[in-house]
Amino acid sequence: MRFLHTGDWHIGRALRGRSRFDEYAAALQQVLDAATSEGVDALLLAGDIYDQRAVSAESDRLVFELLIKLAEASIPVVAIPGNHDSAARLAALAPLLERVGTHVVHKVVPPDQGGIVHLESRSGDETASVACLPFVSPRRFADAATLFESISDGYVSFDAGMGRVLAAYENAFDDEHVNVVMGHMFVSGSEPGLSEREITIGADYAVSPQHIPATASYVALGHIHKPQKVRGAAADTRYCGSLLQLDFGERGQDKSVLIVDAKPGKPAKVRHVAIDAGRKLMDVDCALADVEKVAAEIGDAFVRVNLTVDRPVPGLADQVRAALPNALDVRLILPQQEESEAPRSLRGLDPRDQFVQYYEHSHQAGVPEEILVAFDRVYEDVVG
Amino acid sequence: MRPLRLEVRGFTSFRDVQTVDFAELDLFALWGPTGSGKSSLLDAMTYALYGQVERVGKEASQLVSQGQPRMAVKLDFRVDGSAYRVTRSTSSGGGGTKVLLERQAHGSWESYGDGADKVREVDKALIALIGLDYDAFTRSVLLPQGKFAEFLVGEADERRRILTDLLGLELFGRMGKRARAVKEEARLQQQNKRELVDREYGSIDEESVAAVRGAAATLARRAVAARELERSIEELAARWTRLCSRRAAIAGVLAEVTGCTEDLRKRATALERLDRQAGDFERSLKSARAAEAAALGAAEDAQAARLAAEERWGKVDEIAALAVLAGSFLRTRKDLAAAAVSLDEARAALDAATAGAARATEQVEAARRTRQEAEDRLAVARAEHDRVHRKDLVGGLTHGLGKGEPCPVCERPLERVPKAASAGEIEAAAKAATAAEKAKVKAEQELAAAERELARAEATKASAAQSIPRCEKAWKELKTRCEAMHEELAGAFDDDVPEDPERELQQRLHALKDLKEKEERAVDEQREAGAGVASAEKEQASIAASVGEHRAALVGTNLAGIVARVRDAAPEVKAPDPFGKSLPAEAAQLARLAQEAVESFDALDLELGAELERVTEAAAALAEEARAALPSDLDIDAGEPPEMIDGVRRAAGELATEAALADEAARVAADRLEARKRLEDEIAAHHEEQVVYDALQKDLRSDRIVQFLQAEALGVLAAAATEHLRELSGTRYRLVYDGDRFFVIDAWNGDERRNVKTLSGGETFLTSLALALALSEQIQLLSVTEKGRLESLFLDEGFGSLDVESLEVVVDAIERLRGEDRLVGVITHVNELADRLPVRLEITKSPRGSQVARSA
Repeated sequence: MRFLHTGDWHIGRALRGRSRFDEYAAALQQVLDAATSEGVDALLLAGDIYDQRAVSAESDRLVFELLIKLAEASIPVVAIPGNHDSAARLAALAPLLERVGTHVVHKVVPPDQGGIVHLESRSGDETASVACLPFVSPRRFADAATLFESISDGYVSFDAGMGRVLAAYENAFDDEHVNVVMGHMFVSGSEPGLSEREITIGADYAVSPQHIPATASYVALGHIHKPQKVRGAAADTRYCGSLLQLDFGERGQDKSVLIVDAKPGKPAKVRHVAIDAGRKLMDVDCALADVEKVAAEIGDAFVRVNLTVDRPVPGLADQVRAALPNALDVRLILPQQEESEAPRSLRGLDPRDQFVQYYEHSHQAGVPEEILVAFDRVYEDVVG
Repeated sequence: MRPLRLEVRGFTSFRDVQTVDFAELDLFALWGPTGSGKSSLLDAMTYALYGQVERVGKEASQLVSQGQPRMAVKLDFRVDGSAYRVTRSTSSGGGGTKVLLERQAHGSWESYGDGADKVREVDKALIALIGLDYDAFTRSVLLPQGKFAEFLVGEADERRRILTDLLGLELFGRMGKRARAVKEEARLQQQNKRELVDREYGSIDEESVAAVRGAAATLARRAVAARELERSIEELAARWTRLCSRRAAIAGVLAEVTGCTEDLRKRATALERLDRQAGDFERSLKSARAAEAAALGAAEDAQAARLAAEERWGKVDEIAALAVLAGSFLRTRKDLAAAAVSLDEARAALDAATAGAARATEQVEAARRTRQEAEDRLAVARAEHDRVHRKDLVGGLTHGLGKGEPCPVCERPLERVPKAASAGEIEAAAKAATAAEKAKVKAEQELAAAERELARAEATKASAAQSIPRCEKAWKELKTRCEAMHEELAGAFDDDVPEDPERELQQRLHALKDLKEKEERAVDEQREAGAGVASAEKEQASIAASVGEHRAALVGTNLAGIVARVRDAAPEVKAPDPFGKSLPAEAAQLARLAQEAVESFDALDLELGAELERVTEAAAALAEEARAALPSDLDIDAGEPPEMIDGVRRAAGELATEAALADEAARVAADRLEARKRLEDEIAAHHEEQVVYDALQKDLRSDRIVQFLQAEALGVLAAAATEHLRELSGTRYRLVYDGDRFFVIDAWNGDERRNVKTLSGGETFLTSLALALALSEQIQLLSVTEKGRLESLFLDEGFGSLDVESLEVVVDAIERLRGEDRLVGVITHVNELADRLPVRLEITKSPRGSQVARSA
């Protein structure tokens, strides 16, 4: 069977207030083209479809149009919510999307309760079991755990708990189907794209690659924006990456979708199909005088200007943007300056020490002994 | 301060009891539609803690649910590891606020502090516990709607005022006041002491002190001379006194010797008389002892006689017991004889009854024979009677028939014609039958009587036969008892029991009693003889005691002691050696020794008289010498030497007193000079103190140190807030404090510095949140007074007005907040925000009031 693995669309994401709908429209067209031209049997959408829970109509329009076109091309879709998606909203839309061939698993449920989506190949001679693991927060993991008999007994760490969930799916796999796992999670050891929510790629959220079931032909992951193969997993496990360079952390990354050919009980063969409709994000290091020259070289890329200056001057950013309209950030590179303000520290000082600091500061001299004695006596009178 | 549990009832939209458990929470959303009462839950907390609510101030009664009589809020919270509970309730009519503050101890709630149920006391106690008053609390812990950004963008003065409250900087104001008071006190002291010096010590100086000291020295010398005279007179007087006492001693021993001589003389006479009496009593004692020995022999003989009798017959009580047995034996023997007679009689009765029974049997036999005969005769008589009767009947039937004629009965022809019976023949036969009948009846009656008699005789025989074994048994028992007693008695009579053993035993008892009485009489006589001996011995002892008394008196007289005292008092006189240490016991020897002592003491008496006269003359010469020593300038009465001493001593004492007074006057003068110097020093010290405290109170003024510390604290807060803000804004913003205002530095816009008032809603929120976090973390470190950690933060900032992107920024920021032991509650109606927090407390409206519940 042949799958197209994509995810981390983040439709609706703007950058420093700049809309990116045009880029999204173009990128999604490329996805559709790839799916049809490769003749895939299904499209796996690994979460973070939208950027925000409150979804704008424009975002919905982009997504729905693509899903309808895929349906028209008889390409079924399996989708899960990521951490940016409103799982509740997708749950509400699920029955409707089912009519256009998009199967949504909106929360983590055991294999026999809808956690596995069964697909048939276009030719009808192959079938696939797609185990779906939507994003689950460690803070809410207990809710998900109650559904699994094997992990509802007492507290387990998020990592151990996810391990048991994955083991439950592995138990449900058999040799006749093409076994695929799709998840939205942070597998430890993978390399962040530097624009994910930092919190969700911390140790609390990390799932060990050892938990990846060896019986899966392929594991399609979302969450990390940089496309990569996960090391240390027993099955072929990949992040497809985002469609656009979403933030400056992703500058220089090539975006793509993955074409996966899988047979039952055998490792998959995987190819990249480039998605290059998005604009480039670039860092530009220069002085104010060089800005004009830079403008000619960057095309339509969004840039982050690291401007070398002697000292901060009001209005610098405006000057840069006048010459470089696509300069989103203007950061100052100042000469190595000795931190003029010594870190002030009143922390933990008692009133006497505070008085000494005040006195030395305001009189530019040490406190005379008799004044300190008087201070102590008055303090004693007032407090003691 | 960290809330643990909140319970509200009748409070705004919460009509029924609603509880919120914060104990397990760290980051949570309080979510519900507008108007459901989200903010009211925060109001309930400030109401419980301070009796105040942002919207209505202290008019809390306005918050009672419509139609409810009262509202009540119970808040459990933790400060420094201890749990407290405050319960406050207010009636709808206003007034009537009740409050109770408790602390948890050993698992139960106990009233906390004095006046735990008095509003004013509780309010004070709570402020002390939390470390924040209402204003500070609502700016650092529980941030009501619209107040969140106030600390960031509000007026500088207001911010400083809050900071002063939060950090307890009013301490310096209080210290300043105190410093001013100390300064004023120093000034007053200085002034008072100057006046004192002028008033009290104006005349005293070095020269006046020296004059007083000179006069005192002169007087001191004269006093010393007077003391020397006193000592020499005292010595003469002592020698004179010694002579006088020697004279008295000699007179004393002389009197003692004279008295002792008289006593010795009397005792010598008495002892001679006692010696004679002792000889008389010795003789009478000898005769009494002989009598006692004779009585003792008689008593022993009597005892031997009694013991021999007892040996033969046994003791009195044994004999008495045997006598009783013997009496019983005699009675039993009599009963045995009677029993033998009874047995004989019974056997005779049986023989008689047996003979009677035999006779009765014979009579029955005879009667039976008689009856048989009567029956036989009756049968004969009846047969005859029947024959006659039949003959009569046949005759009647055949009357008129002849031979050959058929029988009327059997219809056979008659062989012959029967002959009819005669009337007489019939009558005789009937008579004979009747008589036979009577005879038979009589014979039967006689037989019955004979049989009754036989039965009686048999009964008598059986009765006699029965009594024989009973009598035999009684006889045998008595015989056995009799023989047993005889056996017992036989021991006492060498197997030869006399006919009347009882009498014999009574005689033995009498004999033994006589022997006992004799023995007792002999013992009495022996006792009387012993008393005679004792009496004689007592007399003899009495004589010996008298001699002993005299001897003890002679020992007690202690002639050696008298002689020793004589030698002490008058060594010049030759005293005799007293008689030896151990005196003899015999009266005669004692009398002789006493007589010898009398003679030597008479001689001593004479010599002591002569010595007494010599000592008296020497004392008179010494008194004359003392009178010559008295100086003429002192007014002293002459007399015997001891009488002079008082005068000399008085004169010396008066001089010493005068000298001491003069010395005291000199010392006082010196002290006063010293005191004056001290006062002058103190005045200088007070002046110094006044200067120092004046300087201090100026530095402690609020426009000096407080302003400085506020500025420093704001700088620290800005630095701490920057750490949060960089984290919350993805490294974009920093916060600085400059010139009494906050600014953000936008790193993405060329470090552009922006007044916080120009920030967008989302940015304002981020910055305020960063500052609020910094504030709640730093207060404890910055504060000059002890404050508990602020372990909770409640944000009541609808967030509804934010655009989508700003909201995303806010949600991101809030999601990044980690627990860090801090309770962070976000009050919002925005679902997207509530959705992203680990816990959501959902408030729902219903006709019965709002309800709060934890939802997934």
